[in-house]
Amino acid sequence: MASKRVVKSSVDWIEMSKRVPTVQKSNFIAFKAKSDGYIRKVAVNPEEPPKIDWSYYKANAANKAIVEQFEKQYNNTKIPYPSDKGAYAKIEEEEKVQMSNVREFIKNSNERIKKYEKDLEIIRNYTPYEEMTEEEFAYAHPELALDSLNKPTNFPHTPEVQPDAEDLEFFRKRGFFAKGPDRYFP
Amino acid sequence: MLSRLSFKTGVTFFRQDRLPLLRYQPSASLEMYRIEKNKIVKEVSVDDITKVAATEVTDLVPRPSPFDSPLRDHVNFPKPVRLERPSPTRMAMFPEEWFKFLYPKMGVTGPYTLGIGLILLLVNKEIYLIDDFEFRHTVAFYLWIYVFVKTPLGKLLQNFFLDNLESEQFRKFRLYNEEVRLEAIKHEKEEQWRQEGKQLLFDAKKENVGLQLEAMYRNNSMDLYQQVKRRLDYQVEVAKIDSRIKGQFMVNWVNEKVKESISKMSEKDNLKQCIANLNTLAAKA
Repeated sequence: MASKRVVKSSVDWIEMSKRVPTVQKSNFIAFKAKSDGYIRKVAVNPEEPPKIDWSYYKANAANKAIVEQFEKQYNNTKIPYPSDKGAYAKIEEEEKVQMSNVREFIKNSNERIKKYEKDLEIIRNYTPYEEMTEEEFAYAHPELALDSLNKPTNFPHTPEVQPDAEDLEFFRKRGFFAKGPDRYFP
Repeated sequence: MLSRLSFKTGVTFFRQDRLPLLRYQPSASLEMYRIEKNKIVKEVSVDDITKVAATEVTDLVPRPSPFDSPLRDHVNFPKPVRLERPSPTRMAMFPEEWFKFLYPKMGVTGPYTLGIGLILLLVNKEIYLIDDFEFRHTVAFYLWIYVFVKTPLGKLLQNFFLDNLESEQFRKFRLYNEEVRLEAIKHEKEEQWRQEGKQLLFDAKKENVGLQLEAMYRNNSMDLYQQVKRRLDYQVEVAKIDSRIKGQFMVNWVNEKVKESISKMSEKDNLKQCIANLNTLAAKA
């Protein structure tokens, strides 16, 4: 990557900002600010420094020997492009991990979507409730239909009037739920 | 068993099958839901009678009921439909079916003649005895029925009791179930779209590293250029100053020499010469 010289932003910030959830908006803004700072720093200096006119200096300088020395040295030096010291490698590692997570999430999410669509089909193929009898309803929604054998409830079958632990205790003390013949109706 | 709050008028002869009662009369309304580990968890509040009290939407298992199988004979054993409003009646009491039944043979007035004739027969033959109690009670009975069925007051009461139509409840129940799942699908797709944007983030990170390196490189090369240029400019300046000083020195030296040469000659001779010149000039002018 060192040979590729980055000059201006090639990332689609608008697209990215659309996908950021509102909870992480501030993080995104900070990140963008940082990136913009880097771009600004790059723009301060030109890509290549301007050329030096050696003939002018040779004609007008006091000490021609120095000029010639400078010329030789200047033309021979080459500033090395700085190395990233493993930053790219780290980023790629992280990227691999994160993108594999994303792929997994998408896979699971698609499975969930399939399940929901199956459920939708089932719902849309029920007979209309107005034509159902109690039995048919129990076939369709077993957890919602009344079931006096397994899950008995008191009329009017709302959760507010079902007995809780206090009520049961009240009745237990007075001899209801006792094994054997009824206390009040022997 | 009829629904608890609906008031049915009119006499009908159809078998009214029991409407299925929900286990818990739904008393919750949807406000928001969230997805937690493959389940939809709904948060419910207390006022809407059409939504389910359970907070989890579980997997649906299609259990085909034997009542719907294709082998069922729908002609001889049709599925009875529960009426929500009373079937049409005449005079608030007598069903239309009787009038239709007698129309081919007796026309439009047939059932009325039958009715009146029957009543007259029974009264005349003293099979049904009327005294003032009977008369008063039959009239009152019929008037009350008329009030509750045909007058606006009666229609108000009917609407009041039929507001909570159970068909509407069930329609909303079905819609609620569908809505939950449709919303879930929509949100899943949106979330997928968002997660795909992570790639952009990593591209941006790499780009930042590149930008920083570029900035360093440019800084360094500009630095070198400026240092070298400074030193060369210094040399040029030195040369300029040198030549300027030399020039000034030359000028001063020349001036001095000229002054010296002037002072070597005698001042008087110079003066005399100057006066003579002036005289000649004055003579001419």
